[in-house]
Amino acid sequence: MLIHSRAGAVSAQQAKAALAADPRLKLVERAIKKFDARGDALLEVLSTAQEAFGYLSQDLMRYISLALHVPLARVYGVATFYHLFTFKPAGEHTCIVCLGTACYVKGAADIVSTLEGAYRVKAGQTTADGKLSLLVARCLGSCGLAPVAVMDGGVVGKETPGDAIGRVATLIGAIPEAQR
Amino acid sequence: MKPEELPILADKEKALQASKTCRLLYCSSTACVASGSGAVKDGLTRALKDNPAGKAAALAQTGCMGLCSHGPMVRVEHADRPSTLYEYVNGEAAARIVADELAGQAPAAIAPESAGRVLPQDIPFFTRQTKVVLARAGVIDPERIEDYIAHDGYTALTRALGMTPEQVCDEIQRSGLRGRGGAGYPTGLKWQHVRSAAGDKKYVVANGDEGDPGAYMDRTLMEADPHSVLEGMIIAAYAVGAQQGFFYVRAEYPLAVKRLERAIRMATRQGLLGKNILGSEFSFAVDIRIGAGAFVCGEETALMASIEGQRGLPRMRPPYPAQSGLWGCPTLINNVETLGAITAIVNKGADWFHGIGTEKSKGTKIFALTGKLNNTGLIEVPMGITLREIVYDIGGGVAAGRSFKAAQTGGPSGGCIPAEHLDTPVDYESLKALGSIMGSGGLVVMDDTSSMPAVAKFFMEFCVDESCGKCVPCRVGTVQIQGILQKVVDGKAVQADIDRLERLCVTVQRTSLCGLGQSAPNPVISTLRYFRDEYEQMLGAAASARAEVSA
Amino acid sequence: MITLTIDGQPISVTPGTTAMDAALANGIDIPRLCHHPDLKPSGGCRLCLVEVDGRPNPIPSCGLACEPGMVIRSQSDQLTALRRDTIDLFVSDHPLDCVTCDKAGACALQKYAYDYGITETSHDFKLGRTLYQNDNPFFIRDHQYCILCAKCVRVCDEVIGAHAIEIVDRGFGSHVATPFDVPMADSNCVFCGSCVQVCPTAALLPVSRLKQGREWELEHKKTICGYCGVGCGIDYRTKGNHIVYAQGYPEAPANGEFMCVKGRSGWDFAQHPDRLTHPLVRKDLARELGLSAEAWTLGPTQRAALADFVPVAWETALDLVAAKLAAAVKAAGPDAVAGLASARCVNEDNYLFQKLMRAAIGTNNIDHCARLCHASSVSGLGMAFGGGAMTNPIRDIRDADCLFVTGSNTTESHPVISYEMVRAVKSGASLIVVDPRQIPLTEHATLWLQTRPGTDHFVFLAIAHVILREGWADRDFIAGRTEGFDEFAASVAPYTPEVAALASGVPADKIVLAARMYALGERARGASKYAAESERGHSGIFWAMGITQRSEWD
Ligand SMILES: Cc1cc2nc3c(=O)[nH]c(=O)nc-3n(C[C@H](O)[C@H](O)[C@H](O)COP(=O)(O)O)c2cc1C
Ligand code: FES
Ligand code: FES
Repeated sequence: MLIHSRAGAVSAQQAKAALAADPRLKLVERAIKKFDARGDALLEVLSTAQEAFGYLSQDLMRYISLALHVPLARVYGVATFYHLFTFKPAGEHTCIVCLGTACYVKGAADIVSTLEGAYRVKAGQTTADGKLSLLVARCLGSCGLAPVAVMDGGVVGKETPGDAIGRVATLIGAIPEAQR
Repeated sequence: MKPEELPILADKEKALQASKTCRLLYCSSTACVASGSGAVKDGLTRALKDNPAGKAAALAQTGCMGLCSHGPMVRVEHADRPSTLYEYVNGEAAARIVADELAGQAPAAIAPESAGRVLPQDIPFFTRQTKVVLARAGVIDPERIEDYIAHDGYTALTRALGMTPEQVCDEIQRSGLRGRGGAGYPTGLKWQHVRSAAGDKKYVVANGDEGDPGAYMDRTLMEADPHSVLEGMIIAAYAVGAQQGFFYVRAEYPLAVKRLERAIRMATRQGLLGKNILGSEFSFAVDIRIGAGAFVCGEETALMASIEGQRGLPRMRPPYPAQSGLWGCPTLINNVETLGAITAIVNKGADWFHGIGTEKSKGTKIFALTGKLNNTGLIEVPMGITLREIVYDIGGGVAAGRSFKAAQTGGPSGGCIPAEHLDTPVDYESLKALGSIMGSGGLVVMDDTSSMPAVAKFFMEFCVDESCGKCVPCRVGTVQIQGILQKVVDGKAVQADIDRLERLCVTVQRTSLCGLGQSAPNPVISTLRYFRDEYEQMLGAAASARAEVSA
Repeated sequence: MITLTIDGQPISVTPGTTAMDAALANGIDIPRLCHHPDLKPSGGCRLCLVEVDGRPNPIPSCGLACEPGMVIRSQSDQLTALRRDTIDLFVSDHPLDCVTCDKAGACALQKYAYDYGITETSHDFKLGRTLYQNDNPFFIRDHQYCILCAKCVRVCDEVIGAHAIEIVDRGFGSHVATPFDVPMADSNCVFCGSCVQVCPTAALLPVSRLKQGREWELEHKKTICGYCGVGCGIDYRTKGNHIVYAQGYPEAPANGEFMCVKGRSGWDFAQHPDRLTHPLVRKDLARELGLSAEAWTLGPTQRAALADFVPVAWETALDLVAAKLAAAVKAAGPDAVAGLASARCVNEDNYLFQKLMRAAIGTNNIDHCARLCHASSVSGLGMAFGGGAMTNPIRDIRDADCLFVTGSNTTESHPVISYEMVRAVKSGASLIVVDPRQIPLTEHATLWLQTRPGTDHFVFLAIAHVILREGWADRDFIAGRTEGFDEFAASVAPYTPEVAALASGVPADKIVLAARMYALGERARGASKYAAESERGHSGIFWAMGITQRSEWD
């Protein structure tokens, strides 16, 4: 199929070609097939793509738009609406600190500011060397263990700022500059 | 399968379980996994393998046992004596537990602080609870449909299929069950609306978005007993005449999704889902849709937009989803916990359920008890219990020798309840009268170190972050409220700011499009109601006046 | 009809009417910023709140369906207070630059701020959006004035069907953008300017409008667009003898407020300096006849032409033409003269021109460029329907249940008609496209039958075949209005879907599906508004040059 745009006609094949022979595309294709390429599966397909690639590139969104017959503007509008989707590659390691109510009441904000200071990174961003993405979440559903963090996918509870620094240091194999 | 095959399957599973000397259950819910239940599982497995009597014992994972702050938890069940509950278990303790239990000994006396000590089950944390929805949580293996069936699973469905859809709706209506998603709309009435709505195609949606930060009832239920929610949904679909259902679960809950997927697969394989359920005329299919991180998608119209693959923007109601929902078809939307209560009502009868609770709030409610308490975790209590009982008896009082200041119910849409109202019964109307709401079940306790304006600002930041941006009061109003609260916290506000704040709160409440905006000012209004002095003490003028006096 | 009361006035409306529409139709003005009669209600601006007896909270009237006996108030102290507070919030996020703003006088927010006496915000002034984008020759986007009513996004999606823009991000940071914020020209935008038309503020303005004076200094000059056959009404906003910009107006019968890029932006020739505005006579001829030059003010191209031409007075030129024509007739008879007219001229001029040829000159040598396009349709339609013109008003399209489009790239050739089709489809109509090309309408199609070039008639014959075979034809209708039907039926008998499939490459099952959808007027979604009067929906066939110009018939 073709899309009529002033930049010239782009076919699904071409958009796919732009993604080269990336094996991760298989997962996205499978999701598209599972939902019969129905437009209402947009969120499902975007989630799959986010998980497979770690972020949504423009080529990826263009491909999904063409494959699902959903206008690119809507794909972009939907992707930017939901917090789950990101548009830049994440750092090598991620540390997500919960800032939900239970964790907030138990001092999670201190953990965030400590890590921000130690690694010179703002919450929601990645360190300049691309090693660490520091993210915040609104409740991870483990409030009984507040404050909670997720280090490269593993949930840890009853965190203190000290614990968190230690864990992140082991994670990325580097002691924060500020402590050196 | 046919209805008569169900008891056969149940008996087979019961016999299998009875053939074991004992059954070791370790909690595999998210909280305990985070505390290290993976190591516990390995420890138990290894110890059983090394022990000659190990083959005769059964090891199973199970769902949340409630006291998450004391995890990982292990429960050991015997046919002939009461079960034993162990807390703070780790790998080594697991080995000791296996040794003791297989030897048939009472648990060895160990130092009170050590890992894997026994947690008495007659403490108020357990005895003050009434488990209806969570009855099977922490008892069965959530990944095995046989275990669920052995615990009366799918008997409610059999019973419901023997009734007419109207009778099922009536039964739910008579039980007095009200929606657990926050608003407390009578569930039976909602079912009637969907049932009588015109249209061949209808949908049922289980709302598992659970956006209130600090609440995890729905997650736990889906993780610990996914079949009970699924069965409730199938019964709902039969009652309203729906052919397709959706679980809408937030992406932050991968384990819940995994367990639901498995439950759907197993139920379909057993003929409990899909075409001609239990040999009847009734067919129903279920899919899972994953939320992608937007609180507003818990709101029913935004949720439907999200399921349709759109931006999660709420729309005006009416038409309500019962008349025009997903793809314009009549749609029943119920909270996960609401659906979780259905099987018990169908099995034990509306009258039984009606007998629990207060005049207008029937049955039990699950709360996620968090904050500055000694015991935090998941509890299920009868409606009408007082907040004091929850905080002091079940929660074990405020931690670290501090004193109780306030409890927040309803999260960012709710309000705080100060110490003077601790004896208020917990039901929809009483909480509303206090300026809070029942909400979905988050209950966060704050001690005297918490600054209430800061708490209000925390919630308002959440709403600013989560506002969809469609209507102006919520999009712009919350930002302005947050700005004023920031001034207050920074000590830069003056009385006129507080006046503006109060007026703005009313505007946002009254003119916002959906529940998010309409309830966003609640935490501010309620902290102003009970802790106005804290605001006033932080006013710029007051602060500088104090500074002068002390100088 | 149901009856209700608004502001004490009893009002009767058809079921499904909103309180807003009921009020507006009865001269009751309710403040509104996100409502548009051609768009689905949004409910974002909250200005249209009204009080309804028995309801505790004010309700937005734009989304409120009228119910019998409802008692509605659109004005009260409470509503005034809430509206004031709402406008106050709007202007905390919108500069009150009215003294220099090009939209002043036509800005809806300014109007309501005036009506409700809001001179400035009582809040902290804080802009959510500040981008200024002038990335195309037609309109600018000045985001600080955007109030996120989303009318631009909705019109682009619901009416135009281009969906070039969307609201991106969320909450206070929401803004209208193309995908990845590429320049408009790189997006799906067709530059119809409908977004500019519906924008209530200065967030979207035509480039030609900038710094061209206050809105109330501009005059209205209504006319009909000369580009295609749709006949759109245009309201040129002019200053002096100059067009400043073009806008649509709701009462225009063919197009309402909406136009295509040609109508909205293709008027610059009217005041282009190169436009030929005065008669010119060949230099050698002028010298020979001794014609004197007139002192017209001329544009650059005309001045350049002066090497070969002499500008003369109208009288002089007309006399010269008359004399030359008379000489030709005298020398070789009237048939030595022929006239060729153009569809670019209005009907009245064309009429007079043929009168000149026939009555004054005395020849039948008169032709018109539409002969090429319409000779076949005029005779075909004349035979089939008794008149060689479009059978229905354009506005009927939006109410159709099933649209059958063939031989027409409607989106490009008659864009405004494609808007009506998109609207029908968006409200649930089905759309069948029979075309070898993937025209833009196929993006909206329920069914696209991609024929091999030159084989579409096989599909048409097979569709007729299936309709007769399945008994879907309306026999009474046919008996009352046709002759020779049996011969026709016999002629399509050999054309089974399988035969057509072989010839056209369209799968037989798709042909059967198309036949059923068309014959029964099946919708893609929702109920037909005609459901009450007949069990079938209403179908329409739309064809253009792709059909009238086809010549091959095997
Ligand atoms: C901003 C907002 C967020 C909501 N979030 C949830 C939620 O996370 N889970 C839920 O079940 N209901 C939520 N609701 C309530 C739903 O809109 C809806 O009322 C509920 O799912 C109906 O189910 P019930 O009748 O069983 O309570 C939310 C409502 C609002 C306004
Ligand atoms: S608030 Fe942090 S896990 Fe729930
Ligand atoms: S016109 Fe009704 S909310 Fe904007």
